[in-house]
Amino acid sequence: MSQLAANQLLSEENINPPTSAAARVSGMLLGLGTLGVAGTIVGSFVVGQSYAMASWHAMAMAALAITLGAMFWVMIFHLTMSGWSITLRRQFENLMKMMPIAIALVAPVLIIEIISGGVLFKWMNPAVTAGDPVFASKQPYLNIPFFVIRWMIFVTVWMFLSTRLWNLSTRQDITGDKWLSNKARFTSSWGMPLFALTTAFAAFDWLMSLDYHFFSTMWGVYYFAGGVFSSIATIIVMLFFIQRTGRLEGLVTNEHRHDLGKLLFGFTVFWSYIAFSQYFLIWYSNIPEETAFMVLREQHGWRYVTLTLMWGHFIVPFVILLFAGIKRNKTTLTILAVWMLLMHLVDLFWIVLPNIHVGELRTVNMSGLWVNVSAALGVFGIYFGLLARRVASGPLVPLKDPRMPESLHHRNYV
Amino acid sequence: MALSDYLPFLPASDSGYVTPEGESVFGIMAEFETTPQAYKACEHVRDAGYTKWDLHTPFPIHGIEDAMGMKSTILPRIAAIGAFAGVGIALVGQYWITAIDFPFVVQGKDYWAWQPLVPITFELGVLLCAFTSLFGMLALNGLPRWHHPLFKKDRFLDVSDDRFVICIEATDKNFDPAKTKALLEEAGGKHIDLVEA
Repeated sequence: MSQLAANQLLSEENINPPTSAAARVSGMLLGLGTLGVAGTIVGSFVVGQSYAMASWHAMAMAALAITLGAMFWVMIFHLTMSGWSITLRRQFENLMKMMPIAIALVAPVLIIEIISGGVLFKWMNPAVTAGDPVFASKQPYLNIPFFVIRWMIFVTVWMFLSTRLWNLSTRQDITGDKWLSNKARFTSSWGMPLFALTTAFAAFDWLMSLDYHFFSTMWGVYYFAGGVFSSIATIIVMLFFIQRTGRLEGLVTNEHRHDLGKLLFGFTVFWSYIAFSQYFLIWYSNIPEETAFMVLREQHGWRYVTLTLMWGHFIVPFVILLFAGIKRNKTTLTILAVWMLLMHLVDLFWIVLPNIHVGELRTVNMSGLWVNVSAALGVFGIYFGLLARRVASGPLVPLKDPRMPESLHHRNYV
Repeated sequence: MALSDYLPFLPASDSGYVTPEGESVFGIMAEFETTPQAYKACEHVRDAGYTKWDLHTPFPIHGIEDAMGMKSTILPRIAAIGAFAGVGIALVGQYWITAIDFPFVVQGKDYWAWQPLVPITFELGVLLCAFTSLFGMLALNGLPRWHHPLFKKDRFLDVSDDRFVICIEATDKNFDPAKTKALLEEAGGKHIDLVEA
């Protein structure tokens, strides 16, 4: 440990929080966020209340997916006792600690829905579901009291896990007690199944039930897959901006970036695998309640969004990320990460927006595009603005983690 | 890695150097006693421009690939060719059968539907990628093989215990029995010896 303290790489100016830069970035992003919120509210009067709410809901769920994905990575790092990721782990933890913000961003639409009786979640409206035999069979699960109870369970589990993992890590910064790593590992061991169940059911409740006739057992994994890879993409972008301030030099090297790139590649493939499996089974079995979901997304202009996802979310990044040189280059990897984040947003829009009517058709609404952009700016302006503040709130690496030397000497041998 | 290594009945390929006594030579070996000595010697041999040589050690040494100047393998590129060949064969083959050669209605789907092609395409891509990775790796490192000239040397057996041996092969373009021996001596090698092929 004394050897470590003397390490040049862990000197004060390399790991202290970039306070002034973060304040500048955070102010700018929060300004954009405010504009976005205002735009969304204006949009709800100009384009339509349901359209604005759906846009906001899609983006808030995207932010929640990133946060949950980051929590998944922190737990995986602890469970596998991974050494390479130590210098990156604090950024994952920062992202994970955005949990209250992400939950708060999702909450308004859910509250409005429950109070107003279902504009997006039509099953909340008894007038719509009356005499629907499909709904009658789902009613024991899809009812407002149980919906709220589950919501509270999700929030409790996520808040508890994220807070506990964060506290264990930051306490180790001060005490250097190596047994805290074991405690974090134990927490992750029972936290992981809880995380899996809550994430899957939250995806069922908040995305799949938008079309309450539709069902897919793959849905929870689909949402999880989106979150896992988009959190990796967010970390890559965060590291780019942190290193712009001259910090983490030599701590986060191209070796670490290569591994992040591999994970980005792997989980892009995983997402595609899940997405295709879901689509393939629905396509093959041809059951009306299921196919309605896909048929809708092959018509009225949604076809182009579907094709955009197919090419932009899988085929093109797949081929590009095959090359080691691209994963080991800061600029190219960051550009790809930004692209993957955008694709994640398109994915969530693709899930949510076709569920609402625009006029008579559930069509792509080009005149409402600015509301989508406002919602994205609103949610992610606030989310990333507060994230910048969080990054600046403490040291950039877990200072006294016992596996730190492993991460400093990490190599890929290519 | 000559073909005759796998098929012993074939005539052995030219070893690159034959002694005045008519003995064909595999290379020159030199012993080292400690890891730092072996590491330094590797850097020495690397800087002298040799490419066909190897270090034999009882355990892995960190960073030795830099000291030896080893280049990264071309195996990923071979595997990628295998993978994309698999994808291509699967797509073309299936499409030709289902849409052109023998159109047959299955479950009321289109003849030219792309969806059923995906699992096979994926599997054949993975299969050929795995095959080219495995067999490409074996072809590149020349394994498995029956025998190695170094096994004839009793002193070489110590590398499984506490010795480090550098062996420079006679087929290296810089190989010269006197100069190479001098280089290994300069690098601190002991018991320098010619290895018969």
